Amino acid sequence: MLGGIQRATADGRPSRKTGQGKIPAAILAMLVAIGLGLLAFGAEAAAAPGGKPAGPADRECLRCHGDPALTRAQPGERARTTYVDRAVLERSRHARVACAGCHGGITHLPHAAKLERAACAACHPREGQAYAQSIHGRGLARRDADAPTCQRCHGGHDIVAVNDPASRVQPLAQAKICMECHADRRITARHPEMPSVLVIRAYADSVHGQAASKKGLAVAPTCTSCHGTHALTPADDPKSPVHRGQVAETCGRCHQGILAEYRDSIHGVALAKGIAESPTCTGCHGEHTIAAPSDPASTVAPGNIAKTCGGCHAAERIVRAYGLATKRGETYADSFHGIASKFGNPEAANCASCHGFHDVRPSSDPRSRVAKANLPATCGKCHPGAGARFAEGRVHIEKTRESAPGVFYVRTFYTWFIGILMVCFLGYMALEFYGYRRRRGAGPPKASS
Amino acid sequence: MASTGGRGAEVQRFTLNERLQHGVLMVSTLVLLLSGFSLLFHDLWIGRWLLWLEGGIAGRGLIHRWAAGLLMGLCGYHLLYILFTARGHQQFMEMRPRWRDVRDFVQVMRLNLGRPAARPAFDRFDYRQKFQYSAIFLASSTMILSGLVLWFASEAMAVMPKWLFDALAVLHGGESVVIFLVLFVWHLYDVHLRPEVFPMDWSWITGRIRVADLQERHPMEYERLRQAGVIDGDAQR
Repeated sequence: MLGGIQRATADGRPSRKTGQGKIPAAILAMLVAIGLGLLAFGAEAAAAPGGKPAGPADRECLRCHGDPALTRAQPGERARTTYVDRAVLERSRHARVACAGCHGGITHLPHAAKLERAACAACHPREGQAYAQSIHGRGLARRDADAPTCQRCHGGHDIVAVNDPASRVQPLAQAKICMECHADRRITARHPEMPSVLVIRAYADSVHGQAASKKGLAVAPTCTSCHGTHALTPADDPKSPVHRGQVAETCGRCHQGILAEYRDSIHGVALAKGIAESPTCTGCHGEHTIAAPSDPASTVAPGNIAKTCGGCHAAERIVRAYGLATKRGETYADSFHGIASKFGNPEAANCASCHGFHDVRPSSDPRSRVAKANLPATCGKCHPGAGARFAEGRVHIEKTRESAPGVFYVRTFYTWFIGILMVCFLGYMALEFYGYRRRRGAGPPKASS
Repeated sequence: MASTGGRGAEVQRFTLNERLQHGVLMVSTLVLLLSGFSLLFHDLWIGRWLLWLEGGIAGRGLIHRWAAGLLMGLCGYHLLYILFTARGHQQFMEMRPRWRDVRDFVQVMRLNLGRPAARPAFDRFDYRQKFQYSAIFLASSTMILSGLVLWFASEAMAVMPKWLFDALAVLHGGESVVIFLVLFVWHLYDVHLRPEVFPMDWSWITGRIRVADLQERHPMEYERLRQAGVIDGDAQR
């Protein structure tokens, strides 16, 4: 049993681990028995790390691989080191796993030049299975050299637990690992199906990226928080947590209260009914570029809301297809709210100020903030005096007789009044010049006398 | 051609107080027009440029309200001036429109067209000046009232329906264009381009008018002043 974890140094002295043999043998045996018993219940029990695997003992391996000068050269490749630093290995999560536990298929020494890939799935079958179905796993199966293996993300001999601050895939460090490939233009150039490097890099400046990099929040969403881990698939796969149908649930894992509000909104209800064009979280907030509403660059910043909502509500095809109210954006842009918002007043009412954010509902719904009965309260948020009488008129008014008779008649009056006034002024001036010319004889009207 | 002596004696037409009132009215109205047009024409380059110049939507509003305060102060002062000072009251009474003004207007038109008519004898203010004053009086009242509704929007919303509020906002904008045209097309023509006064009627700055001009443009007032002994009938020309 102990042989599996015992590694000799090159000069044959016992390692630090075997030096712990001062613990009474009876207790040690008991601990091992308990450990084995526990492992037997786990799925990983099939190839328990402590079990003696087939293959050479570690000391046999290290006889060669303990030599820092050891390299391997495949034909047409640069020489690569095959040295295994025992100190690194012993600090790793796999300190107690024998060499042959991962590196199988070695029946005699010296072993074949090309060995099987380290068999992670033997102990981690669930992860292995998920990985095999992922976009990364399928790439590897196609022998795509760019497809990341287990080691590419988790590390090799230096592997540590995911929650270890030294882990390459711990939340605060993980984005860096993903970007090593996804932000590398050489790799994306070979794979046109990969998203643009710019899209990926935008994460670093997003509110989520900043929460990790600036505020050091381990709970800040990193790549896998949204995209999934081993089973990672592209967003157009319905199983992907970032697929349109799944996004709300995915965001809702952290933003639980918002998810409840959204599900009950017209957008959430429509999406649940299968209207794919109904916006989900990312429809308004963006994906990798997501920013806090207080960030002026955010798609949901007060100054940008009208444009974001207008993306659908001013799109003729969508407006017509779903029978949405027309000219919402134009009439807003023409209102004082719209002008003030456009020219940089963040306090000016935007779409969401009146219609609500995640809980947006049609005015026909009595729970809607813009239902007739709720308008005094909604307007009253900014205009404390607004009474029921105020809400009598329409809010999004067009300059037509039907939409706003008062506005229409005042406008019409001024159009005519200004026109007639100008005709009178210019006519008067013309007459006066004419008279002046007559009185001064036939000469040109010299203005100054 | 500043009328500072030389070509004939001069007589006072406007007091310093009146000239200052005109100055404040001019400044406040210009500022109000500029800061208002930035909103009215926000779609055009001129509106955007004005907005930028006025420090954005917030700065624009602040400028507009300060100028409005100035204008309202002036209007209040002017009301007190015409109600409680002898001079102001007298000037206001001279401004009252009369039927004679219509007759004067018709006569001037006939003369311009070369039809037989007597040359109207204007008093202190002719019909053009009376029209101007009435227009400013009406427009200022309209603008101040509708402007106050927009200024105190939250309070106004408590008592009036939205359609009225919207209509008043449109009225405020429409009236501003009328004021702009009355001032820039009519008034500037009247005091700069008219052959009689070109290049400028200086009395708004100097407060004085040449006796010769007074006799030509305001013969009735000239006659009154001469009889009262204010001006010497022979001193002219």
